[in-house]
Amino acid sequence: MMGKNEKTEGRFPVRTVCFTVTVPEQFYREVQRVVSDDGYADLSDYLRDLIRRDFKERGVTVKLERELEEI
Amino acid sequence: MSEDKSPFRAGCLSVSVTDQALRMIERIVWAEGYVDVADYVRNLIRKDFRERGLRFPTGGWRDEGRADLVEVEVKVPSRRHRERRVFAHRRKAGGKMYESPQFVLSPEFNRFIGRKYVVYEGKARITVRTDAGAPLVDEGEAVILIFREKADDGKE
Repeated sequence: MMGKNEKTEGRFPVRTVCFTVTVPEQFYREVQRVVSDDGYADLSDYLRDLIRRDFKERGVTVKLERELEEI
Repeated sequence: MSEDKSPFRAGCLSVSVTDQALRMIERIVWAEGYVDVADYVRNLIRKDFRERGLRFPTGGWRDEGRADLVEVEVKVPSRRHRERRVFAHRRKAGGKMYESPQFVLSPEFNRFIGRKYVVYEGKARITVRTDAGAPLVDEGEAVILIFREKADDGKE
């Protein structure tokens, strides 16, 4: 499932997309525990961290979040 | 979290990323033969759990012999994935007619004759990874027969 949100701030359009991953209930609870134990802000923060680490391993330099100066 | 009567209970994880990042993820998904973006993310979680020494919960066995979701990856392409039909096995007992499903396999499974098994019911997703082309994914209701390795299976 995907949704798009486009915000135009000055001359810089910032687009974010949201996607949903369905996982078995037990898996979901395990992820919640990791999020709480490791002090992630939320589930989304944890997933972004995993993607960020994967990008780093692949040598990809793509921003995952809008940065403060962009908002 | 879904709370319906289905044996498959699922949770949804949502994540918001930049458009550019999604395009990069889609490129990885396409290049590495993932089924979709969710499959890629699930694989990242799986990898993270492995690094943390956590057992990857593939759904877990539930009571009444039902499984939430069983995910299996098959490395070697199976030539046995053609469709077969379940037959009805009918017998009379005490003046009543009873009917049960009957699965008939080819002789290549003869090594299982006489062995004991336990039955689970659930949903399964089988990914057949091949050297060439996108992986084949079979998904649906499943009846899983486990021939326990340690158990005395009574084979003569």
